[in-house]
Amino acid sequence: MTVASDVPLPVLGARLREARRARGMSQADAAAGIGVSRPTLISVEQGKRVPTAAELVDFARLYGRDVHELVRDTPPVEALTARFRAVEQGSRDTKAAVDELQRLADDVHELELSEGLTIQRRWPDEYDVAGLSSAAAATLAADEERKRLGLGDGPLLNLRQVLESDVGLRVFSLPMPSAVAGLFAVVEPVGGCIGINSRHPFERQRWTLAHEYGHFLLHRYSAEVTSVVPGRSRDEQTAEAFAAAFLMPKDGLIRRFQQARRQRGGTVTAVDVLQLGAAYEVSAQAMALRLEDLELLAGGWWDSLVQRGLKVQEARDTLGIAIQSRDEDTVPKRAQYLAVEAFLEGRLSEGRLARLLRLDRVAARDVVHRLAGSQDVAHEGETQRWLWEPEPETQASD
Amino acid sequence: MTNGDPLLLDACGCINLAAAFPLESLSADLGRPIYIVEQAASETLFLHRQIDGERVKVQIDLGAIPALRLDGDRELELYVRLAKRLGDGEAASLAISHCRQLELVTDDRTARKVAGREAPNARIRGTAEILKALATSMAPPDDEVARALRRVESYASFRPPHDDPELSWWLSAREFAE
Repeated sequence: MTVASDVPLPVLGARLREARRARGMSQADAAAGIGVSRPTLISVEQGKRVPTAAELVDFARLYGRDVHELVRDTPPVEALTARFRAVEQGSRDTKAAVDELQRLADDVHELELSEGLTIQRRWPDEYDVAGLSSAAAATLAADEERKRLGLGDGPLLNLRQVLESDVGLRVFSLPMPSAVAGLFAVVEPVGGCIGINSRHPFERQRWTLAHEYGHFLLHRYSAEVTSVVPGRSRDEQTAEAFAAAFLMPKDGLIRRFQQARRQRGGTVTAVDVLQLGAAYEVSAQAMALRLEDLELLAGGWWDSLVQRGLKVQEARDTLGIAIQSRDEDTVPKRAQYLAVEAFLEGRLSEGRLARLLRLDRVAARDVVHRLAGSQDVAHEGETQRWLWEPEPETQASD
Repeated sequence: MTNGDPLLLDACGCINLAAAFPLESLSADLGRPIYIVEQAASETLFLHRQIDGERVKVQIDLGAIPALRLDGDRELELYVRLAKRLGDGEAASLAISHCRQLELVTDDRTARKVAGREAPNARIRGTAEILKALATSMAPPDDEVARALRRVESYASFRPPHDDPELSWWLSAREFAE
């Protein structure tokens, strides 16, 4: 019996091995769970024996995977979890987040291969910062990247889009334990992958993105699990300094700070710092600490404000500074468009679309309507809306 | 459409029909036994309803729809083959529809294409076709049909695609003025 015979056996074997490892099962346990001998299981994982359909269904159940995940013909992105295995992963929830990052990268990679599109990489070389302090290394990389990407020195409001489209990284938003801010690894064939915690506030997510981008630029081939409380290692300190310098570039920030000071007749208040934070889409604390680092505010200014009872949220409400929604787009926007196009043209089923987006069916349909539709204003000022639909099918296109 | 023959729903069709009418009475209203395969039933099935100005997910109660299980090498092999291109629920639904020659309700373009090539015995019906048949056989008031179709559009975010043969019926029936 040759089940799924058009899936290359080595690929099928690799997928089964990856799924077993992600489940944390030994070969002996898996073999017992399926009711085959261990040599038989090894033979299947080595791509030497064709599993029966019933065995594949049992494997999927045992490993908590969809059958589709096991029988698709793209090789698994095994290296991603392997790369993370080399670092401290912390809790079981953190390991689950790493596994989910791999599965998301796998899903998007499969989609891109099946659609014949690959992500354009516009990666700079790793910055040579040997011999520099963390602060100097971070400033060098942040300034050069701003220049390379043509970002100027103002607030950077579409960071995720820049990293996905202009750099060619894959950014995913997925649930993680609250103490974990993000994940980062570069593995082939998927390239640079960043995971941000979908449960964190928007400003924290942006900070994490910039932090992980710092790792990409400066320590590209080490996988990172980034904690909310920054680690003490030099690499972590540099990535933190990079996030500050990249999100709040010195020259532009000084200009805006001076403008605020002039408007107040030479002083700066907490209100100005809150407004600067909102303009740069960073937290008030991050802005204040950056201003302290740049010696625009006295050291300890923020701490003393907090000790005196500053309530940031109340102050923001009073000033009418809106809370931005969390970024909960699980997969990169480009992958969403690609998936919707494939869905509308009958190359991606609704079940697979929903799975890729990690949404229920109706929510996935809403994404289709949102991304396939387009609005504009017509001559008379009325709103026009178009919904993209594929051409009627012909025999030839089938 | 043969009266009395069993009807199989995939997740896509099940969501749409559940938005239109209570699933508990669907079998009696259509005069046909209704089934769903286990894989399709286990895929999260929600409607999205507007409650107090917010869009809220409401779990679909599948208690009235018996679940079928894949059985035998033929069904399992076809299932695994189809799962290479489809989601598990779609693959299992098509496999059973093909092997047991059950009519399958799905509006999924990809599932329909794959069925044409790899599960030719599967007889595919669309949501609009089923609802039109229901409207014809039950002859409910026009405004009730219009409300049902609008519920599908609202709760299930579904309207038949431009090439659905019953699209014009749908568009005309949904516009009935109360």
